[in-house]
Amino acid sequence: MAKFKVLKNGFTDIDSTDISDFSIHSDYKCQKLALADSVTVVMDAFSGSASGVINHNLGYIPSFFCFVEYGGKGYETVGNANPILKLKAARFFDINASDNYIYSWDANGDQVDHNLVYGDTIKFKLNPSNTSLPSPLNESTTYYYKSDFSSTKFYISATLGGSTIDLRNGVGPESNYWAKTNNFEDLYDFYVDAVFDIYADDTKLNIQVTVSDLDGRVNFSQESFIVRAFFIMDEII
Amino acid sequence: MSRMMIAPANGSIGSTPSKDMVFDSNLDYMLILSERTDISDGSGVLEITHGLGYIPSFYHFESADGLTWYRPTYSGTGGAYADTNKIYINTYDPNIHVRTIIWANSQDNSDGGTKNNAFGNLLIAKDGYDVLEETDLRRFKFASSAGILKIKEKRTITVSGTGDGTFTNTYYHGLGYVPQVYVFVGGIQIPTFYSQGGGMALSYSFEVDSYKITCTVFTSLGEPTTSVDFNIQIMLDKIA
Repeated sequence: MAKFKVLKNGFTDIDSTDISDFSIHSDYKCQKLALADSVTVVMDAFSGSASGVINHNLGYIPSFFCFVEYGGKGYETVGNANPILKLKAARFFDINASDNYIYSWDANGDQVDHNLVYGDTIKFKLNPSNTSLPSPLNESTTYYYKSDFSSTKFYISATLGGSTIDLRNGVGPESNYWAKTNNFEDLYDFYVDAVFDIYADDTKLNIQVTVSDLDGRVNFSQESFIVRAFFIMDEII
Repeated sequence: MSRMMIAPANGSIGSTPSKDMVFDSNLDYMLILSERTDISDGSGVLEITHGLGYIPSFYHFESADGLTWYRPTYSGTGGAYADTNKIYINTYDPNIHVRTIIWANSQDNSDGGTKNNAFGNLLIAKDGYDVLEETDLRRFKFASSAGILKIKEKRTITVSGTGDGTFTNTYYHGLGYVPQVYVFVGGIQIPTFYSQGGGMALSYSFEVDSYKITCTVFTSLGEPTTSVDFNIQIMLDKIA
């Protein structure tokens, strides 16, 4: 049987028995690419998660090489929890229903300037110890910054420029509701870890990104990541 | 368009599927630009200059003694990453041996065109490119100046045990050198570590030396039995 051999650069012995000397040796399969593709996954500002898939449709679970591009760097992926990337997170809000305002505080529990401006939106989220928001607020509605009570406290409206929502008939103690806004601003130089879970099945690569959410209080920048994969034309089994 | 195919000894062109061919010029390959071993100095990050001007694909193995190699897990942020000039590998301990395979393929799989690193006596350009004009490996399916990973064998190693603990199983590959190995459990690239809180954890890992591959499962999940299939692809290409 004739053989086809191509030596790597710098090697001269075509009869070498060390197969690693060869670029190609017809006795051994080369590792071939089935396809290369990518997906952009974007962090949800409110849930603190992101997900995506890259379809390969090979019908088997392939070997693959995968990278995550973020901030001009291409991260090697390993296993179920790498890379772990630091993301900026900012803005804590609480509702003071009895005094009818929302206030802004930092990761240390100190009140800070809210820095919201006309046109900014805000959504509310129950914390685990509450069953409902102060009337008439709900979690599914987007509200609007209305005006300042002070530099750290503000009123909200149901529509842009609408009347101030009256929270004083609402129930619940103050400081036990949380809110997030479209106005992401790195006020506090505060970071959280984003953890990547990446695995292949017989049709696609599955990507899930999760971050520590501090019980739902943290507002995330809507960071995006590009996940890139090279699928090898060979099943892993 | 001409096509170059090499069938395996037990196959034939026309009947052997592309994935089982030794080589098929209709397909693309990961082209090995360089392979190198560096030693960490304990400063925290090992920096490897590639100077390519684009972010290359890469893969790395580590070893504490240069004999037994593994893929690291990272409990903190970062890990290993590349930019357009360097590869950065978090290695906090000194004297860690790091074997890095740098592919010519950019992570974004673009065709480039500005580099002058494709040469050799056998060149196959990608579709649309003139093999006599191009010099950038990213525009080639094959160039004999670059290596391609060659598969020795695929194998499943089952690690089993009873109760909590650390369980291993070993396969003797018989190569006499440390081969590159790519290890998966299901569709997850190994190593992995799952923490379920409360002291409950599960991890899969492997080590390879010049004689054997050892797969390890650590579990403290309180399950009565453990049985995990490690799917291993053993290459003929060397780590050391």
